[in-house]
Amino acid sequence: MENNQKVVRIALYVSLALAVYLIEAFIPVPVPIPGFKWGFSNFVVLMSLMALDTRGVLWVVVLKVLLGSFLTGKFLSPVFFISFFGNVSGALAMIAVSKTSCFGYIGISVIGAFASNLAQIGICGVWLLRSAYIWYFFPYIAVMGTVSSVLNALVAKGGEQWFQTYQRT
Amino acid sequence: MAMDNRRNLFKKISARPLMRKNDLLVIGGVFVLSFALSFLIPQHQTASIVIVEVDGREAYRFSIQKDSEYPIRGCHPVGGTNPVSHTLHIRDGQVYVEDAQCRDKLCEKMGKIDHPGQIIVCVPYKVLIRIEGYQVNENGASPDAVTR
Repeated sequence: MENNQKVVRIALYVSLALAVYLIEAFIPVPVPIPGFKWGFSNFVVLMSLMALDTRGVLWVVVLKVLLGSFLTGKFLSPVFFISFFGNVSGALAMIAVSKTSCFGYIGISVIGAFASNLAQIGICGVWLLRSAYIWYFFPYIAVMGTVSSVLNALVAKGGEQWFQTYQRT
Repeated sequence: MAMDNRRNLFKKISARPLMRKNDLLVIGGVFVLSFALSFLIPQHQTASIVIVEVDGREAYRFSIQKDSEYPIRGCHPVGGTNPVSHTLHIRDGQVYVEDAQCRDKLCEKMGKIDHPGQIIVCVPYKVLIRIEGYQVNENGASPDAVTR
């Protein structure tokens, strides 16, 4: 891909992710877990995974978390670190898995969500709270994350098809 | 030239299907693991003690039978002295938090807990409140059988 095209694409994905990230805050969460979010903006990461190389995907993820935390005023707060490490490990897992052809969109998305949940709870348990009891939340978060990541995969696939027809006309 | 690039790009994109068989295995694996993990939480115990951990260390220990309110000093987010960050309420065997000093007040939103293994968490002040219990005897006689 040409460099300009790549930059434009990263910008497009980041702005799309930020819009979804902000709208998502209005969607209620069924479990009373602090800081738990659906993570719907991750469908954009999934889309970028299919269109960009590894560095491009990491750019999208890091910019998404940084700008998202600026917009919500959470930069350098505990929530920021949780979401930063969660997002980056999720992205790394998805990048690794997408190098093979074993999984479809849904598999990649679910693995990414699982890795990010693992990192989020891990960072809470080891660094932020230093208590192993935080793992009490993990089953709930893992199940919710799986549900939302399947939805993300559907949206990513649909969005990509939409991009495709949009660009050809 | 640019057109060609685009075509190649999208050919690559549409190659991957929405779902493969392995994806079902992944989803099943996550569900099975979560289900198994949820059994690690003790369920056949009677709630008896409320333990408050601050920065990973046990800082307070209260009886769940005694209705009361306790000030909790969490870890200050920036440093310095530890201010009173929450008020812990124990009422009718239920534990909840009020007067949270942080902005999100997520610990208040977590509501009331009353079973062993359940937790209330405040990440900014590094406070974790959990309930511990003990196994009920086989004849059902536990010290707090009356209060329940």
